[in-house]
Amino acid sequence: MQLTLEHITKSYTKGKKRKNALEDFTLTLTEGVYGLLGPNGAGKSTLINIITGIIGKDSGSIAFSDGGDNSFLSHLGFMPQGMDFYRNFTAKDYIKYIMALKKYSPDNADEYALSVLDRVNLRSDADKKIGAFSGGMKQRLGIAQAIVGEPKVLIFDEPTAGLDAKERIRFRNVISSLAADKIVILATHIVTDIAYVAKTVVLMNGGKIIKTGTQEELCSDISGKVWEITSESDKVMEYMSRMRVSNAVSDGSKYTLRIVSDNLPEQGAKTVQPTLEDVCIYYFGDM
Amino acid sequence: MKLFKYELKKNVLRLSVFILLLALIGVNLFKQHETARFLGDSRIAIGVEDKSSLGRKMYEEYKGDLTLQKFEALGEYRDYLQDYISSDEYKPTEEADYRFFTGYAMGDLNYSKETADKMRYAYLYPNQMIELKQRADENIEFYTGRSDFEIRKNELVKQLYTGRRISAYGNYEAFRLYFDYEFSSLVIIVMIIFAFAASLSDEKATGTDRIIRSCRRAKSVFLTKQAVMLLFITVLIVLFAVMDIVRFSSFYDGSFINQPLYAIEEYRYTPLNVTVFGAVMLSLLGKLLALVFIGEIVLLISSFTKNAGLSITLCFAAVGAMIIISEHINPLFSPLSLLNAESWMKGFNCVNIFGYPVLSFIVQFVITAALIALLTAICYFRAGYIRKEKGAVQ
Repeated sequence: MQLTLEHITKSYTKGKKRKNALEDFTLTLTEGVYGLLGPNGAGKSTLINIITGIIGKDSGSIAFSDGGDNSFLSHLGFMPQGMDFYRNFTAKDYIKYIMALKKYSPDNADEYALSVLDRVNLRSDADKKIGAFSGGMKQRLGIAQAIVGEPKVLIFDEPTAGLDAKERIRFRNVISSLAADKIVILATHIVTDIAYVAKTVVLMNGGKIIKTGTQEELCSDISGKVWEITSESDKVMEYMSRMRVSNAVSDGSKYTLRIVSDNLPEQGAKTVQPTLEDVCIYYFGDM
Repeated sequence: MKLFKYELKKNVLRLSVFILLLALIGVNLFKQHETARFLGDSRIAIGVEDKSSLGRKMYEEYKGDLTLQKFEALGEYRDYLQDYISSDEYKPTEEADYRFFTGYAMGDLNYSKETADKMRYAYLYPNQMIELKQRADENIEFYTGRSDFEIRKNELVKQLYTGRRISAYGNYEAFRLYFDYEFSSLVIIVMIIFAFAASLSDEKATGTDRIIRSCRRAKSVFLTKQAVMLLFITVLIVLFAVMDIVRFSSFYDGSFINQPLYAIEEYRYTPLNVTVFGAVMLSLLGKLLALVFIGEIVLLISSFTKNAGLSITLCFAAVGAMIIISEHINPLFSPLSLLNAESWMKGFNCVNIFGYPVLSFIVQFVITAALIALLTAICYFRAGYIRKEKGAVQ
């Protein structure tokens, strides 16, 4: 199974200026979770909207092959950014509505809807009105609707926005359980969402791919460029304004700062093992 | 069918819609009562138990087929009343005397004159039409060599008004009031706005529009939405029409529904050779067109915003403005004028189309249907259901 994006370009005209939202974007995806990481305006949503056919591309091509002859849309599950629901629907109703939209008709529609809800731990809430759902439950319902019809390509656009820590962990677990035989594209600007589940991380900025690879590869690329120093509290702000600080931890009187820099930031600084957050700070600055 | 069920649930099958409908039905019942009581001829009202409704008894005596016997009986009764009132025996009192239909000799005399006038209208109606035909012939003669359109127009007059007759004397207050009653349409407009003003804006706000576009049935969703709206409007139109007619008929006699429309005196020059029932059906068609037009406007406005509250406000403002504007423009180009059946059914009006006369209401129907088609197309594009790049993915 393979989804191939080749030389995708998309630009917008804003006023008299023309802005490239995607520039010669090329990527080949196979089974597994792909994390699209980038600051706001990096082009993640534009890319997703192009893959799902919501907006058109100026040039380039997208091809999907799975060995079958079904259309791509029948293989696509999509959870848009900032998704919400009809308050008067129950969770089961909503899943059945999506089944109708996707023209997916299993033998026992009710049982199938319940099985989909089961996969996101919402089976016991199947007959509750969505209006009574918490943010986390709604987000899980968003995932559930995306997996209706057993699509081979799943796309989640900023899926964890507004979730608390517990719900985020639950979300990651659900994604991991789904990813075995699917292409999952996870677009977010929250690094930790991707750090735990993505097999491949795609760093995007300005509509281009900045870097692609596994977490380990990306981290090893900046090996020796992440430093730790100890600083007095009154100097923390000065460091922050001068350097790219990925973390600052206080132990009462002093701070331990994590600095991403090509050069030794200060005498006595020692190198540490980079993380994905450091990678993002290295390539994007603040996100 | 499954999509239809869920579109219905998204837009219509909501507790708030149901509660509003019940409330508006309540208001409408009150308004119907007020209309029937104060705009109808209360002397023959059934549900009013006071002196003013006693004329109903005389009406019951003479209604039905027009016969010479009834004319003679009415004439004899009037002669008797005149003699009685002129005699020494007659003394005006406030007490009702139930030897008389109305309870009063003078009341009977006055009402018998009115009854005779109405019976005479029905009886002599063919004569009026013969006069009309003669005038049309004169016009044709006058316009020969001057205007082909005027000749064709007068030919049309002859064709429409020839062979008309009224076979029964009846009371048509229930239908006269129904054709002129606009409050039900206002209620339906409110319901349309309430049910559909948030339809597309909610889809945008919830991201459902993007899911729809990424699915295989994006086009079906739009058509289903249209079908749901059409069904909703049709059900409301029929529901309120039945309620209005039953309610007005509970005050006035509704049994002459199979008489020709021109049996209603105010509709003597109607170009429609249909029964009152047929006219009711046509009025429903007119309302359906006008209300679907409003429905499309509502959907269009809904496609411009993600905010349901703003969409509802804009819809009320737009429809309010349209109602005001429609009173100042040519009714041909005002779909809303189809809401009042009286305005387009009552008289003969035609439009010159390439030298041929076409009845105005037909042109009005066609223009409204064309506007609906145009708005539907705009709505379709605005709704954003179209996949921007067909076959983008191979």
